[in-house]
Amino acid sequence: MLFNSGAFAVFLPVMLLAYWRLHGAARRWALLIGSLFFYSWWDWRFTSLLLLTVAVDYACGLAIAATENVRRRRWILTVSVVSNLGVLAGFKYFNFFRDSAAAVLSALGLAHDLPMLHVILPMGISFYTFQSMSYTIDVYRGMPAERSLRDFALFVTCFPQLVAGPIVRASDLLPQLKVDQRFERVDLPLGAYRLFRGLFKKMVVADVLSMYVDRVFADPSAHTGLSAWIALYAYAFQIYMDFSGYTDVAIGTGELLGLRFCENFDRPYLAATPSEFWRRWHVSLSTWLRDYLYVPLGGSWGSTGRTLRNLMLTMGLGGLWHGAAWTFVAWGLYHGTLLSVERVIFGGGVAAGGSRFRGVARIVGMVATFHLICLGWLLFRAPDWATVGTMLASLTDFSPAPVHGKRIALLLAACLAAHAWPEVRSALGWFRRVHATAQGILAGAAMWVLLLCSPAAKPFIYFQF
Amino acid sequence: MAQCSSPSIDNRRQAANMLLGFAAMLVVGDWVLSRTVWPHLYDSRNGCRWKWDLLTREPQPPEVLFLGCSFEWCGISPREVERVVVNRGGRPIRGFNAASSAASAVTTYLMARRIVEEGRKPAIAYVGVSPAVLDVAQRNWLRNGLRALADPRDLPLAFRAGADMFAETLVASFFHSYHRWDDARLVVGRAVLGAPIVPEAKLKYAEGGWAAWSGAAKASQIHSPGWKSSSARTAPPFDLAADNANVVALRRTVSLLREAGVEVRFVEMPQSSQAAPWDSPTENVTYRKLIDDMAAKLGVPIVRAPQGVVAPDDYFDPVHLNAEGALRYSRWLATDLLQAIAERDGSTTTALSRSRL
Repeated sequence: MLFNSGAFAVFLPVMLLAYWRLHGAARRWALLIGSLFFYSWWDWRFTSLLLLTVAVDYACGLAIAATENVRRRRWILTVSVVSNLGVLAGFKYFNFFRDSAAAVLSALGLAHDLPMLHVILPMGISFYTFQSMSYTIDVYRGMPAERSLRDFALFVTCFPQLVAGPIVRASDLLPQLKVDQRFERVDLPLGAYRLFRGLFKKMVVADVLSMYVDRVFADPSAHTGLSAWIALYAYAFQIYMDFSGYTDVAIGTGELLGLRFCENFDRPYLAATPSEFWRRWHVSLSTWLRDYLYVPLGGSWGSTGRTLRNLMLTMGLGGLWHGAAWTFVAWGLYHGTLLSVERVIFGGGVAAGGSRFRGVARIVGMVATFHLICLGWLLFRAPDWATVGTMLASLTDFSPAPVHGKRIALLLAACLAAHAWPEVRSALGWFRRVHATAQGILAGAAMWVLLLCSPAAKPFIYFQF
Repeated sequence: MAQCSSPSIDNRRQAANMLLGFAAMLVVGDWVLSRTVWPHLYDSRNGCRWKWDLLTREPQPPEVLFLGCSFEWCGISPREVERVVVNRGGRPIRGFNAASSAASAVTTYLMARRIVEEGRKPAIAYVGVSPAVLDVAQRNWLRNGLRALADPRDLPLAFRAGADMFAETLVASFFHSYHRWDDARLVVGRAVLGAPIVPEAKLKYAEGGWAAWSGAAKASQIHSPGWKSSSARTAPPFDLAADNANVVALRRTVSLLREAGVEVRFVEMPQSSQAAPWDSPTENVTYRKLIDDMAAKLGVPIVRAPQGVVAPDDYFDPVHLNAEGALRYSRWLATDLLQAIAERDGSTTTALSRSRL
């Protein structure tokens, strides 16, 4: 089910009503059933895959907790990791590896008849497998295993963050799910504000920007110079508004259910260095990759060469997590390279790069980082290498040509101003201060804006991951 | 004292107040927009969810009735038809658009039967035809769910249509503004961006917005809800078997209206070049043969607008006219109506032919 759909507009009030009318176990069952219904709306057949992941990791968690034998624990963890990655490999990466192998065989002049899987990618599979897998790893590391299958299933399937995150840790969400949330503790203005802000970011800003971006990426050679740069900037804000919009809706919806999810974005385009960008962009994935991949690989405890290898490996796999295409791998490696260069120049530590910059140096760093990130988005957005090449040629072609997308540039300026505004929370503060009826009126006005200014009910970009 | 008051009650009161404000804003917004960007769809003679109630409230039965699905509902403005007829020297006539969103031929039959049985019969009826309304599984999840309860023969036809009417009321009362939003977006888009926002929606219908976004080379990743819905449209072409319930219902509609002395004309609404081939009355060969054979057999003329009656920008998606398109098409349809009346001069079988035109 899409957040930006009529179905969700019906589902959410019904879910909230049922949730707050019930108590105790009945409430948790209602949320679980609602979450499975939410997922099944897309395609009920894949709910079984989701439940399989739940069942395997629940059993593995209990089995790990039941034994002190290190080898046995490691073996059970391997079962969990392999099953999760196996599901991902089968549904998401099989055809990618098959195509890559076929291309290599063809290049070598070898005949091949490799099988191809005709399956569709289950929605949100990358998110829920990572979330579920992190649980068994945490249990392996000493966290108590969850005894209740219902509560564990709820942790994995909880609908606000099921499809596109934030990737929540079991230690954060499970305790919240086990207590009966009280309605009087719900921050209604915050929930409504984040919900509508997220929908506005997605349905109005991101989808309108996408109209121009789609046109340029469909025919890059026809949009040179400034027109191409506007498209690249537009995509940078499109993907930010799209994804952070989803997170806003998830956090807002969670708040209305009395659940608190972690923040996933912190004005990422104000980052002065690539490492600072990754502390502000898709934080739940960055920390996941750090805690479950980078650190186990050795992190930065070793020679510089080893650290850079770990960075490249982590970011390369992070790129592959986003999509089964070499352009995504290249995007990940590109960011790995940026982080490596930063590390070589500025050294390691949390204070590396941006946070030590002040004044003009920080502004220069922000502008430079933003443009480096934008060039990375080119790899992320382009459907193939030919488009990457043509777009790069268009970006460097400043021969006289009519400039397209002037109005989009105005919208981008507004986005940038909102992004750089010193304290966006002041808008929430103002929203809190007005009377509840006025809050409802503002939400109604926002609803009209959504209905009138949204081009179409497009899926969120991160749904494909 | 403030400490004594229950915070729970405060939060409930706050939630109630927010809902009140929210609902009030939706109503006020709808009222404002109904008087600015989409008045034609608020025309009391172009109702959807209220169509039957409004029809019964008309002091006299309408002389010209438009039946069909959302193509006709969105694309025909009775008021504009009336205006053109008068401008061309005809006497004032009364039109009523009884077409409704997602209607099948079964729905139309039941509507026609109700109109005839309750003595609200018109002199002439334009019955919308298209591949979609004759498809055996005219897609609408709620309708199809309700249809599953029904037997496929005569009694169930009524039941099915009754279920359809129920479903339509349910759906239309909730989503009645769907088409209006798109018209409004057209206006807002032109004002804000200098280009209509809505044509993007064409992609959703034609090839899938997701596919367009993602690009051909990322086709292997096109596995999203948007893709799913678009691929569902590309999957099987319409089932237009000559004995399917909708085809039978269309024949019955013609017989019913004829027996009541109503002049019947089939009308095919124009569709844009982005319409999928199976949706298009001109490109769907099976449909074309089916409807041509039926029209010839029954002696019912098919009203087809020639090229150029509406412009490419007159659509908000590949198959529905927008407000401007509806006016332009209605003006053309009025000339067809005048011609139809002229052709029938001398005949005494219809009320219109006895008119003072």
